[in-house]
Amino acid sequence: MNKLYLLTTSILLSITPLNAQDLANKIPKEVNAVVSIKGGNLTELFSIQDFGKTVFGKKIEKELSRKEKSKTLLESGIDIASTGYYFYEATDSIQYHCALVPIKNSNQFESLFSRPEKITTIKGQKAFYKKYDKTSIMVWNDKMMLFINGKVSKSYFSNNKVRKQYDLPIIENENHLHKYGYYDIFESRSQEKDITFQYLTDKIDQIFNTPLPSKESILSNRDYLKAQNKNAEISIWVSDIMKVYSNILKESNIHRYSALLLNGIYSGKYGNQDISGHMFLEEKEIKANITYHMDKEMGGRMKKIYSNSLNKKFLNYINEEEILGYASYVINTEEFLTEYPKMIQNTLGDLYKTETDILADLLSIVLDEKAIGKVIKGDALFLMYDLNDKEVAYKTYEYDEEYNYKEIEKTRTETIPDFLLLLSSGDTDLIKKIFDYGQEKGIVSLENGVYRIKYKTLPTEIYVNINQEIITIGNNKERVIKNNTINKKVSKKHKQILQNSSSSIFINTQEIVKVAKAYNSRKKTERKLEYLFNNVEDIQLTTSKVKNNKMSIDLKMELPTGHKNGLQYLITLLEEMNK
Amino acid sequence: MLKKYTAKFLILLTLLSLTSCFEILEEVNLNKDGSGDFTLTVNLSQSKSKITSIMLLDSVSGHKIPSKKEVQKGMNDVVTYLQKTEGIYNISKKEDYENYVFSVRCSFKDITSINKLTKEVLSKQKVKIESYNSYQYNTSKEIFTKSYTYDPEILKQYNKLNLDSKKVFENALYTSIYRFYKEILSVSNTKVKISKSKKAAMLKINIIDLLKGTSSSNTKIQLAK
Repeated sequence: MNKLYLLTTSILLSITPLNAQDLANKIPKEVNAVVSIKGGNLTELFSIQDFGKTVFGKKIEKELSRKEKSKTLLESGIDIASTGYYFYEATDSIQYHCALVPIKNSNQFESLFSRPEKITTIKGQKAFYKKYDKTSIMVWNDKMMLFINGKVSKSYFSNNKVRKQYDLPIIENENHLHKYGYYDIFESRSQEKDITFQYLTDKIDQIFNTPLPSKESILSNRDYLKAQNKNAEISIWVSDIMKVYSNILKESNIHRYSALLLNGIYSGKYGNQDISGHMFLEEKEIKANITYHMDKEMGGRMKKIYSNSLNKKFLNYINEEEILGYASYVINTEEFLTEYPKMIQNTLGDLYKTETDILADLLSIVLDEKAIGKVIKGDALFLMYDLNDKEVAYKTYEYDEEYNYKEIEKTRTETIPDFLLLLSSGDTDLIKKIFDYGQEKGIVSLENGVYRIKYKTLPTEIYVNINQEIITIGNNKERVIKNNTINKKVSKKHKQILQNSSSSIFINTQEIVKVAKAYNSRKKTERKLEYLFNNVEDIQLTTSKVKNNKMSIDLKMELPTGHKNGLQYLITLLEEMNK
Repeated sequence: MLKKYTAKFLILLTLLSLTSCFEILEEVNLNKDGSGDFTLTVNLSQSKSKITSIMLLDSVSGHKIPSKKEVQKGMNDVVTYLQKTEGIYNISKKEDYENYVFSVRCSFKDITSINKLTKEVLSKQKVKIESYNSYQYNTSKEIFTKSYTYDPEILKQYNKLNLDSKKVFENALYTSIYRFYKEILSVSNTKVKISKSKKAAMLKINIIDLLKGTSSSNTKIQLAK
């Protein structure tokens, strides 16, 4: 089984671009998820010959050559000029996982099998599967290879009408299906496998012997087509995330809570919510994005929640040259408190409708959304500054000439990173009151208008300053005060990231590697860190605001100089890290 | 979610940048009849920042971090053990969780009563290391002996630690002070220093040398005739 998977993944890894023989026309229109790997784009970026020279490539070729003569990936019989696909399809009775791999020379492909006598035929096609596991089958012809795995639905086979058809004993109490395991539903594991095998052979027949009319293939699914991007190396598309989620819940061993969620999802009022994602390994950068297409109602709610922007004054606290990284987050607290109970209500659907209605109203009475939204507006910026020296006191002993000793206090220097957290507040009175209370309790002290929190379970003192509707929290007093003697510098790039995203993470990778280098003393790690130091660029992750009921997450890293493209960079990086 | 990860990341980065070490202080006051007082102090205050950071995590590089409760229990175990031991009385403990200084003090009728203490404490913590101290005082010959039994297992365990944990031991110090009712005539260990009045002796050893077995805290002190 393992080898079968290795073979399949290695094959998927070696696939190529769209051509006339695109296997997508074999994928039904109604599938739940599709992943496409464009081998053509990939091999253009990194040739198969070069890949064969890498450690991973050598491993695969060793696996391919295990029979007698050595083989390269080019001699595997796989068409390295087409796109390979994975798709997931769930019907009421079974879930299929399928991988479609283009073949150009089936003889070469067959020669990969160490025991060709085990090759059989299913529905007129050559096939291979393990006798003890008939739920995974590999089938191929001159044009393609299909690796298919199936899992029959527990809930479907709990239905007595279905059970009659399959000559399964009748279940007394159908309504308590969550009490039944597979063994209660099927008489034996092999019976379950036989039924699955039946389904798989039918599916194989359909894929190989009955071409789909063009209007029934995924290529006529508008949502799928809209989500495609020909420049992406890898793409993923999920047709309806709630449906996939409920399928997973349905087939997991249903416990009380998941059963509740499941019933909720069934009766919940959801429109179609699809997800699409792409990965680009370009000449100048590596990019990945995931887009969440919401239904109108959800989109409307999320838009309200993410309507705010980060406080512009926060920018005055940043000195780009000294930061190791930052993270920002913006929501509208008031809208969040108003919309969230409604979203829960929606998730539960008609289930507990009266109860959730009352709960939502109660919450609205207890919480003054507007007032809370004023105290904590909902935007936050966390800045991680470079390492800084800090004096720390410790206890030690002093001895006299008779070796009598007393405990004395000395100080030592420690280097710890500075951090700064910025929050917006339209009403700082409550927060001030909390700190005043802390002062009474002896945890907080006020020094020149700055609160100092010293609590023994905290590794460092924390300073808090409240100034012009901005609350600053950090372990460096100077930075918390927004001392004008400290340099401030923010480039246009970061201004844009911070102001246009609903959340963001930025990592100054080079600076972090520099810190790690300073504290590392192992030779092996030193070499790796040195390589990283010379071969990384900043990484940024951003979440967009809601636009046209869409929200997207973007990951980006510029390519360091000296690398041809993203794929070549990633492969080389993996090689270096595994040395 | 994000906050939790940022916090963890911050703590880890702090840990990475902090150095740490500790001190152990042992003091024996001996009377003519062989009775006396014993104090053992573990001072982790130089690692204060590191410990407070560590205590915020559950485990560091696979080592489980004892909670304050567990440390308290350990201290109570020691006291309970001492209370049960014959010939030991006046037991007291000091716990300073702000500076991480912990000490136990007791009086004994005969110093051999405390010999099993280290062994007992280690076995309570489920450490299978047979390195321990034992003390003896011969009242007629007036000879005080401290012997340290070295178990190579301790070095094996030490070598298994990662580099960062090893660093903790680099500057750690073990100080022993012995006080007598009369002057000291001779000392077997050349590293032992004798006070101005000649009634007290002090030995400072790097803990790393004790772990490696390159240095010994074995001491034989002959009092004046």
